[in-house]
Amino acid sequence: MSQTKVAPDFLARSTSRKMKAFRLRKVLRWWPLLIILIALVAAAFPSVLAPYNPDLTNLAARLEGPGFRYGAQHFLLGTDSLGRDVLSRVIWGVRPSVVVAVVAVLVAGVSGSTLGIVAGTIEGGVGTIIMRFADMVLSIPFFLLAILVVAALGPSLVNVVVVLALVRWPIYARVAYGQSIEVSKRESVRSAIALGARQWRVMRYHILPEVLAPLIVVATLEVGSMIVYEAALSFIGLGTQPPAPSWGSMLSEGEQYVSTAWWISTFPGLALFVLALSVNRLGDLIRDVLDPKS
Amino acid sequence: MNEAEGAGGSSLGDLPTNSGRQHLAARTGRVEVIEGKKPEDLVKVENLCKNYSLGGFRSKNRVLRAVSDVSFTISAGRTFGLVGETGSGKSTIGKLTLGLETPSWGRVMVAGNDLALLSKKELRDLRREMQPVSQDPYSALNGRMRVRDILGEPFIIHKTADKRELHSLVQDLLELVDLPKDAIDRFPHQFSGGQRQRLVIARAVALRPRFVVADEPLSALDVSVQAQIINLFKKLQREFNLTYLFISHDLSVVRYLSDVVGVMYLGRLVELGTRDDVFSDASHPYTQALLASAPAVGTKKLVEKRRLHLYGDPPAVLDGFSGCVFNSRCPIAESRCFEQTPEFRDLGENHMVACHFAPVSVDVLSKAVERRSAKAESQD
Repeated sequence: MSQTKVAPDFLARSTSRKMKAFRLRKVLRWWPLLIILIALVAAAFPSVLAPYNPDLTNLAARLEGPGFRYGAQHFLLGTDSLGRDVLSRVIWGVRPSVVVAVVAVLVAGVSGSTLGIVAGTIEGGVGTIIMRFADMVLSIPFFLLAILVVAALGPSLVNVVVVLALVRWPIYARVAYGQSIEVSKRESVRSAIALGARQWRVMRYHILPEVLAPLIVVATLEVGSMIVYEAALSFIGLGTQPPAPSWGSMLSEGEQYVSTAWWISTFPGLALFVLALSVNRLGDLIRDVLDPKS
Repeated sequence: MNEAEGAGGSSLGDLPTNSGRQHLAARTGRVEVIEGKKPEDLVKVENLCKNYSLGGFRSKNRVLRAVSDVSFTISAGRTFGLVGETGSGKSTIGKLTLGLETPSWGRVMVAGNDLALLSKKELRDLRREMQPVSQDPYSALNGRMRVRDILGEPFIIHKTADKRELHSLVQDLLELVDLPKDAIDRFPHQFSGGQRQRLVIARAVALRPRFVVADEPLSALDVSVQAQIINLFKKLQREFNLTYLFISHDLSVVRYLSDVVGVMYLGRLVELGTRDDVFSDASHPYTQALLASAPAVGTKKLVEKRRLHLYGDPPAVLDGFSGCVFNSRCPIAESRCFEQTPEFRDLGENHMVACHFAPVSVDVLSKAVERRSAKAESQD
């Protein structure tokens, strides 16, 4: 009798332990959110987090390694060729990355999605023209266009956003187009048309909600790419202009010292890697959540 | 085309004009409805053709004739039943009469308006008068919308109610189709198939249309639920003097609901007449075979006889097809049937049949079937 009681008790405890582990893993899967939260705080209040002024040069303490102390000052990640604190510059460098990435994704996402939905909903030539144009844009080499635009408009963060939006809207247009074509064939959409609904109403209330989920996933993944692209443009000198700190320009500044002072380019590179990875992971997680099949 | 025009002009119902409707029109201030020469004919279809291009890069002229030269009229307040097998063009006719597809040839008149001549805005406004009830109640409702929004949308689109009225209007609609009033905040997936079809119907009749096209509205439902939905259709017709185009392959339902029945085969109307004409006095070989294939439906005369089996599948009617559409499967087809397209002839009292040999008696037909099967056996 006692044995029969022990067995279920033991089983129950084991399953509850398993459940706990399972729940813990479920929560830990969301680690990218923590990193992104830190990045957002750093972008919003860099002066609070950064120990020093990122632009303050100190020629007496140039090219010093991580952990270097100079009087009362403690350079946790070392200093660069002008004696500026690498940690402070990495923290201040979050802002251009995040702002450019988010604004570029918003501009490209909204315009691309709109064009894609319009192309997918309206039958006839309009959709074909829009999508052929999108294909055309996708075939233009990214850096060539970036150099052209920046050469024409001058290097600045606004122009970086313009370039990125110009180049990336077809990504959203394609996703929205494919989905809208499928959705617009549904009986529910046809019934709205049969009721006498105008085109915009059909798009806004019947098509947009159905195509939004994949677009959000694409947009999240695109934020990761945009962060890397912004760094790339700043690296070749088309984005953030020195002395303003940004990860891309720090990478290019540190490049010439990489054999003697590895920390100058390594830490911004690491920050870039971790943030881009987190955003990509978040995109995957959102996809899993939004897709009921998985 | 002349023979078909004769059918277009024939009115098969003799209902008085829809005067009750007109005062409603005046009250709600809806778009002006131009009354036709024969006001009792709410829907008039003339020589309707619809071709679908099959595309193809090398063979350019591959055209599928989904609907060819179909003419009929539907009197206000009556039900026109359209039967035929899958792919016979029934649904295409439904879409064409609602102006959801444009005909390749021919004319659709609804309440005196030629759909092809209306501007986009005029057509949108006319849509209040004509509504579809679709086949699949699961896909016909937007799953992200609540009942409140699904049933409120017609009023919003046509700006016939402000937000305060909307709630009570939607509740009235729910009551009309025998759904509980507290269903207003539910989502479509919280309803059964029959309840969903009630929602679809409620949405269709929300603006009190005059013409409703029901395209196989029962085929996705359980038989037990079908009866309720049929009764709902009947009730709404009584209440609002609705005119139905009822598309179905279920002969018993069509027989129960329809005043006038059209039988389609491969995009053509092969027989057209009152319900009794078609069901008790079928004169086209295809109609007889169709009735014989449903033993519960045919008249005694037909049920007693041997079933009239049809062999083979209907061919695709592409461009360049000649003769009678039924020639490949007709037991009594002769060389003439492969050369000449039969006229749509009136056998009297607007009972129209497209067959060279019409009226074909069942005896002749079953003997022909016997001869054919005997021949086939001897060849084996």
